[in-house]
Amino acid sequence: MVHSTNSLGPQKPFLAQVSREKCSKYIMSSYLELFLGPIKVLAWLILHFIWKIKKFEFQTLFRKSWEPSIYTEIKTLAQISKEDFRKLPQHLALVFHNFEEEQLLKVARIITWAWMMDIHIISVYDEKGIIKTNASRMHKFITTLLEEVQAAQSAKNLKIKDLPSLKFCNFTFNNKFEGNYTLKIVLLGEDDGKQGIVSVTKDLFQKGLNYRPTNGLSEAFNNKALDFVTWETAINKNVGLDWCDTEPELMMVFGNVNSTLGFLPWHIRLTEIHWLPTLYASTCASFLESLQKFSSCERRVGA
Amino acid sequence: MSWIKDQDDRSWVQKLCTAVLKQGLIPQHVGFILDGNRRYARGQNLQTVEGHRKGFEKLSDTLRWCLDLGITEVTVFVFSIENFKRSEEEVSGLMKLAKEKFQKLLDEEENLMNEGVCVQIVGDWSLVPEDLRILMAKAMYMTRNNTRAKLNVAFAYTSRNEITRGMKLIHQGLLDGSILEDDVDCKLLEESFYILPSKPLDILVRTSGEKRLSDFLLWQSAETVLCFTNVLWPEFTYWHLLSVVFQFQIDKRNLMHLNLKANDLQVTDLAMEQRQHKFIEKIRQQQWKIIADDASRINSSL
Repeated sequence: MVHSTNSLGPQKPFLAQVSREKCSKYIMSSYLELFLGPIKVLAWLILHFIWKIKKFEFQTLFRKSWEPSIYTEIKTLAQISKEDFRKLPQHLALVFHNFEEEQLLKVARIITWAWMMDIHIISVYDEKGIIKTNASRMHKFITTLLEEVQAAQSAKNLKIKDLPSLKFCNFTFNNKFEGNYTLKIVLLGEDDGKQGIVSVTKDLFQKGLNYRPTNGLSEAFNNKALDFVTWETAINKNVGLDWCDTEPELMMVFGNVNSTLGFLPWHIRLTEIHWLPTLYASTCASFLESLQKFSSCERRVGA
Repeated sequence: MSWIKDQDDRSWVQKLCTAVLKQGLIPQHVGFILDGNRRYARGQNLQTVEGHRKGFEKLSDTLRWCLDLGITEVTVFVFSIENFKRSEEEVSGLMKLAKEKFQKLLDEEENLMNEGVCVQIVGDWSLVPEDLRILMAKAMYMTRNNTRAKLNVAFAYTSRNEITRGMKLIHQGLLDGSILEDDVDCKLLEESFYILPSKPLDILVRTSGEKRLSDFLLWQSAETVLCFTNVLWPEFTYWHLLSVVFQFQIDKRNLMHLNLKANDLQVTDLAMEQRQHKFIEKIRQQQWKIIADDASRINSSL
């Protein structure tokens, strides 16, 4: 009996050949991957680098925006005919990404631009709540800007617009102006978004526990099954929007980022969302461009 | 037309570009607002229902592309509660199309099980006609143990309705003592929305040039990337999907440092976590029981 020196036996050479073919294919694809791998990484890095260059704003490098005086801007805005806009939002939301305290004055200017375009309800939000924390400084800045407008109107004998009464919906400040209409500003922070909805859930539960017919709470809180209107009213009240019939119709997100950054999720179901440059790079022109785009859009509500 | 296209028909250029993009983060959960079917139909001189059919074909392609890209969870906005306000003819046409497609889904049971796709229908089931509800229940029940990929179909859905239903469940839980007030947080509320656990939403895509959320995933998209693209849904291509992934990679970097308290890991005690877990399990079991009952009625209804 002759023992084969081939340990696989006489029927095994075919299997050995198949295994060798698979093995060599595997080795080739590994070498290919070794070669192509760094090329794919490089291609990915180049793609992202080109995008970064395209979106680069030199103003952020210098951390400064070059702007004309508020008087020049107001004069320009006063000359714009509102009839050029098919529609303008009654309620505007301004959302800021990576907000810093030194940008408070710029926010006050944007609010003034909105006021000039007959937008009298403005919600302002940044994800860290810095603007809300500095409510008194915001009030001071807006009041100062409106005073400058008033001074310019008197000095240059120019009728721009009647000054409003200024109301911060979740704060109380003394008003310098007594206008025949009100500019309402709602300052919001992160606690007003998702966390606000959670707080309302707990609050309504507490109200239900504490309900008595004589303590002035609505009968609705006595019911175990709260209706939609009760939930919605409570959510609006929690953020200071209980007096407001309109939700934000337009949201401008400043910061070159495509996200709402946690702004009031309940209130933006039909809000038109626009992405604007960072605060440093945003100008009155970019603000007006957003309003122009809004005026030309159609709103179809499901039907 | 199958729910998920069988073949990978990408060109080598598309595969190469995919391989390059895969060097960065790929979103794990993508939401789609499939807008533009009616405008597409008008543009092509088709009936509106035909536009919706084309939209479904595109959905089938997109689900295959997502699987090939490594996107493991997709949520699609198919029918809003607001859409019930459309003409009776269009609504009944859409219900008929939905019934046809869900029946097709059941007929593809083997394919779905092989692909490992789990189907979840999110929305207000009480508004769905009974025959359609039975089909939806069967599809969910049949695929409940699949884990490779997940498809959430938003039908008879609005986000406010979803949030309110979640708040009501938690309110009931507080009333009957299943949970305490301190147990209620953003994570618990979000978990109450779903019958099956869901990954956080990474990016929400809306086609047809509209720049609104239209009451879709308002809660889930609060801190995610949004992508508005001008293409009509039936004309959505693989290249558009790659640009969505690219947009996600750019904006995700900007959002990484987002320090929202809702996402903070807070110190919680074990007892609280157990109560939360038990509460969520209890409401899910109640919902599964209803689904199982509906699913078992399918044989008697056919």
